[in-house]
Amino acid sequence: MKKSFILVCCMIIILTAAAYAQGLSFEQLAANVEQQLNGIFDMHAVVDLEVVQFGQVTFTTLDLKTSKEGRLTRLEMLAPDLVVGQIYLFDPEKEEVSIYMPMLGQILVQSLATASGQFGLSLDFADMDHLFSLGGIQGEIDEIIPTDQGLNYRVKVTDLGEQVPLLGSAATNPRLAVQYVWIDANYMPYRIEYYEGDVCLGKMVIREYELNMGIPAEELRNLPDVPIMKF
Amino acid sequence: MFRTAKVAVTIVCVLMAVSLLSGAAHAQSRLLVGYTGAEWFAGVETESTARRLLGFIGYQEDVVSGLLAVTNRTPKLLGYVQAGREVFMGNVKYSIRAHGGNPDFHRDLMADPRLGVRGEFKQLSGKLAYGIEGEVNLLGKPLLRLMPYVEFRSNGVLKTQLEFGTGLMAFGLAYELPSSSQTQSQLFATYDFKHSILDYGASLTLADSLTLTGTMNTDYEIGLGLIWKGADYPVEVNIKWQENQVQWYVSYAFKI
Repeated sequence: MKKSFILVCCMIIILTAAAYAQGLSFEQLAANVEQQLNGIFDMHAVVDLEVVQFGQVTFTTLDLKTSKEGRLTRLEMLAPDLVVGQIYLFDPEKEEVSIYMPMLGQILVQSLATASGQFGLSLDFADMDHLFSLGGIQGEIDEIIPTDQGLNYRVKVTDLGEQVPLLGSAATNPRLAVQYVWIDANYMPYRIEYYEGDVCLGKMVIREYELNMGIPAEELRNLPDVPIMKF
Repeated sequence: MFRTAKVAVTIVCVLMAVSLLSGAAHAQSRLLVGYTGAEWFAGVETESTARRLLGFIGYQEDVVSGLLAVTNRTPKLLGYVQAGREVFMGNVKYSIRAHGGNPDFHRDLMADPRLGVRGEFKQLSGKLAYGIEGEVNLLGKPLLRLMPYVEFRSNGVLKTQLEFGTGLMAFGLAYELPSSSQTQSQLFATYDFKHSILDYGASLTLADSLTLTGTMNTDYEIGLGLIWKGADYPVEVNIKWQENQVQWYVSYAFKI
C-alpha cells in the first residue's frame, strides 16, 4: 500500500513536470537557459566539434576549461592526432593568447587582437555565455525528449545572429541556415547542429561537463615549462 | 692567394649584407678567439633573424648568418655563410637552408667546406613524429645525404634514424630522457655500416647553459665536449677534445 502510494506520487510528480514542461514556451525556455548560464562561474567540458569545410569533414575534440572570475579560457586539443597536445590559453585581462606547441616545445604568445583579426576569435567567458545563449534569438521548441535525468529539449533556430561562430565558419549559404540546439534537464545547451537545407555542415557536442567546481586560475594558467616566443 | 682573397671578399660582403639586413630584424654579432688544434684563430660572426606569425598557430623564421675567421700561422680562412627559412605550422615543421663554407663550424672547426642546401620536414602526430633531413652539395662532401627518422614520444623521446647517401650508410638511435626545466639529457648510438664502427655517447644540458658531451666508439676513440653559454654574460665557450686534439673558442656577443 505504502509502495503504491509512493509510486502514484512519483507518477503525479513526473506527469506534472512533463505537463509543465510541455507548456514551456520558447521564451520561457530561453530565460531558463539564460538563468543557468548566468549561474555558471566556471566550467570544465569535453567538446567534440565536427565541421565541414571545402567538402571535407574535420573532427576535433578538445578539453575546455573556463573561469568567469579569472576571465581565462583554456583549450587542450585531444584529437585529431595532428593537433593533439596543443594548449590554447586566452587571457583577456592581459589581452593575449598563449599557445603551447608540442612540436616546437615552445609557447607562442600573441595579442588577442592579432588572433581575433586572423580568425575572428574572441574567446572570453562573456562570449562563452553568448555562445550558448538563446537570448534575443528567434526559435521554437522542436522536440521534447524524456530522459532518465528529466526532459531534454531540441530547439530550432532560424535567425542565427552571431551565435556559434565556430560552426558559422562552415556556412556557405546563410539564407538556408537552420540551427538545432539540444538543452538538457538542467537547461544547459549540450549539442548544436548547423544545417543548410538538409545538409549538416557543423556539429558541436559537449560530451561531458562539470560546472562551478571552483577551478583555480593557476590551474588554467599552468602551461609546460618551455621557452616562450613573443610576437 | 688570389682565390683566398676572393673568398674573403665574398664572405665580408655577405657579413656586410647581414649587418645591413639587421635594421629590420633581430641581429647579433660575436667576436671569436680560439684554437683549431694546430693554430690560433680570430674572427667575427654575425646573424640576423626575422620572425613573423603565420596564421594563428604558426610562424616563420628567416635566418641569414655568416662567420669569418683567420688562422695565425699559415693564414687560412675558416667560416661559413648561410641563409635559410624555417616554418612551423601547428604540428608540422619544414626548413630549407643554403650554405657555403663549413656550416658545422660550431661542432667541428675543421670540417670540410662545401656549397649546398639542407632541408628538413617533420610532422608530429599524437605520440609519433616522423620526418626526413637531407643535404645536397654542389661542391664538397657529401654530395647527397638523406636521413629519414621516426620519434616515439612518451615521457622521453626515442628517435630512430637511417642515414644514407654518397659514402654513407648508418643507423642511429637516440633517447632523450624525460627533461625537467633544469636538465636535459640524451643517450645516443650510431652504427656506421661502411666502416663497421659503433659510436655511442651521452649528453647532459644543465639550466640551458652548460652542455657536456661524451662519446666513444668501438675503435676506443674517446671524445669530450663542453659548451657554456653565459646566462648573465654574453660569452660562450666551446671546447672539444677528440683523438688527443683540443679545439676550442671563446666568443663575445654584441648587438649591432
